[in-house]
Amino acid sequence: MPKASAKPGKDILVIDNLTKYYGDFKAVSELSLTVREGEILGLLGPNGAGKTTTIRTCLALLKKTKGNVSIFGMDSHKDSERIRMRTGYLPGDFGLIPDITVRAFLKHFLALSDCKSTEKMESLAKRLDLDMDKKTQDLSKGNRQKVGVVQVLMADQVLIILDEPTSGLDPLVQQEFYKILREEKAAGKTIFMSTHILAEAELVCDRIAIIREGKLVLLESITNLQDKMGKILTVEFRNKVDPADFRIKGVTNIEVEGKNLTLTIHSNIDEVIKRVADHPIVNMNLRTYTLDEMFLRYYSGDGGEEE
Amino acid sequence: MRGNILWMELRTGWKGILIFTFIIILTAGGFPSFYDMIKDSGVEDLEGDEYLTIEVPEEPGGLINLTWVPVQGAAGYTILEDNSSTVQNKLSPSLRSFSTENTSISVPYDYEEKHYYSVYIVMDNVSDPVFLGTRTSVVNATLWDEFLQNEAYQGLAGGREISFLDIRGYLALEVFSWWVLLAGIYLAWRAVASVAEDYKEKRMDLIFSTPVSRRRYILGKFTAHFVVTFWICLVGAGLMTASVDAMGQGDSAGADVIFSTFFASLPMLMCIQAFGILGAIHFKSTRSGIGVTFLFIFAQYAFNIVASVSESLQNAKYATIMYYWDYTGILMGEGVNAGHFAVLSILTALFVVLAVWAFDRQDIPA
Repeated sequence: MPKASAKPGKDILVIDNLTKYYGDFKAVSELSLTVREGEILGLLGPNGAGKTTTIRTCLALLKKTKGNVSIFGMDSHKDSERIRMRTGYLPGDFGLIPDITVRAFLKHFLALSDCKSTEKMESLAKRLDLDMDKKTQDLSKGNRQKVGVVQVLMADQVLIILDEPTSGLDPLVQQEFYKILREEKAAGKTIFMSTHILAEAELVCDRIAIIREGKLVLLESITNLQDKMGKILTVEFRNKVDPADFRIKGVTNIEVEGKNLTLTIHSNIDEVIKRVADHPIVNMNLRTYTLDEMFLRYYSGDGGEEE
Repeated sequence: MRGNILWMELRTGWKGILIFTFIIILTAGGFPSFYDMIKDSGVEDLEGDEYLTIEVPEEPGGLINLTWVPVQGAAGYTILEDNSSTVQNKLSPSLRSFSTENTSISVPYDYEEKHYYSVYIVMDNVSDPVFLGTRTSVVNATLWDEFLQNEAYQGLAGGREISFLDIRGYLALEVFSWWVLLAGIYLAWRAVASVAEDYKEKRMDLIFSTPVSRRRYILGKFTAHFVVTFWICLVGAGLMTASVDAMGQGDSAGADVIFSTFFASLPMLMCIQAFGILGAIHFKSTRSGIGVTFLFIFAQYAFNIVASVSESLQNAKYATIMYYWDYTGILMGEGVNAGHFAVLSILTALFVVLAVWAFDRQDIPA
């Protein structure tokens, strides 16, 4: 199991051996991970994997059963209010206060966060095309989500925690949101987000943590992960080939179906290409694993390390 | 940052507060204006009572002296005694009858309940006696007196016998006896819903994404409820004072008495709301929270009435919060009991502390 690597002064959020039970049900099990300053860490997993529980326990909305969470070097539960002065959080599911305008709602939350400036709030609303004069109860799901996005970013917090942030947003707004996230990162913000949209994680995250049944199964940077997973070579030959011809060191997952060959290259690419070139080729493609494929491999229990 | 929860609570709840203020206007301002009408309707209208005079001893055992004006041509008089005022309309008495040629009679006062005496004139040339008038054995009696001898009514007045003829008695029974239900139920519902709806509508996560502590959240809500309760007491007292004054009863029930009575209810109403908040925190549901809080109010209310008139349960009344708001006592000039005020304030504080304690220890459901 990956361990949280503590780097004093660099780690904004450290989850250490966190366990959370709901009655007899273990929602999070001995989870350890670290979110480093200035990075975007994506927490991946299907519904029920424990993503939201992990995030809500970090924010002291849930009591932890075991383990520790520290944010900015402070205890997440004992120093919760001090932590929240520097942390923005967008819940996965939330309701708005009815009978007031979006502007009044957001100003209320700005005031609760002790933030006087409305400049960023107005600017974010404009970028996301959010009607600030509309009553909150008249908003569509997508527009409610926009309110949440503005709310989490408007107070200019150092740490931003997002739970399924793009849920309900249309593709154009999603793109604008990713752009905003990258700008926040460039401004030195640290972002910890959960998602089950792998393309989203691939697009914006520096590192990803995959959890399964409350347990951490992977914590890795996307580039390292892609290196570790190897590259996929697919070749269409003119004639049938024997898979034994490609059984060489550094090659895994060799599959032959008719005249088509698929294999994963971890090393020895020069030798693989030479072997392929021994046969007449119709078509050939070399690519990295997509996050979807990696995710499926981890979730199917096939870790992805070289065999 | 401080005061934001309070402000938002008032801002989003203003419609309900406005509607309830209107109800208070109707109740506190309107009810005293019915005083004269209800009082008059309670005065027993006995036919011909102006022709009769009655003297009743203070205690049963003596004689009742009944005299009447002499009637020219009367050969004698028949006096019928009954325990119903219908005696004036009938010729055969249920209890006793007397005959005399004089214009006065003494009858034994050997009963405790109210009796009626009707005098009929016997004339030589008229076959049926002619009705002269009726009086009762209870001087200054009203129809309400019989009605209010009900123990439940005495329970509403803290076990006291009070009269509708007195504006203070009228206010005690017609307004303050159910003020705790009217204001208490509305405020309890408000207190429960203000917290439980934050759970139900999933607003808790957003609220606690800001640096608001759970203690501050509870205190913010509680303070908002205090402001609303204060407003309701202020409107109620102001309107009732104006209304009573307009009825010409300001000397009997002045502003000081009415304001004291209303504001003495403030800790009791806050106690109910603190209990409501505790219920909402515990159940995280509007329906369950309101159910338990309403049960608390009704059970306390009923128990207080029973305990006020039952000798065997006399000490149990100290266990009800309603006992500590003695509106009848305040109206009758006994003043606000500081000890009662303190008991309710301490109990309120205890409920608030319990609510904070429970909230601090619970998971906020997603």
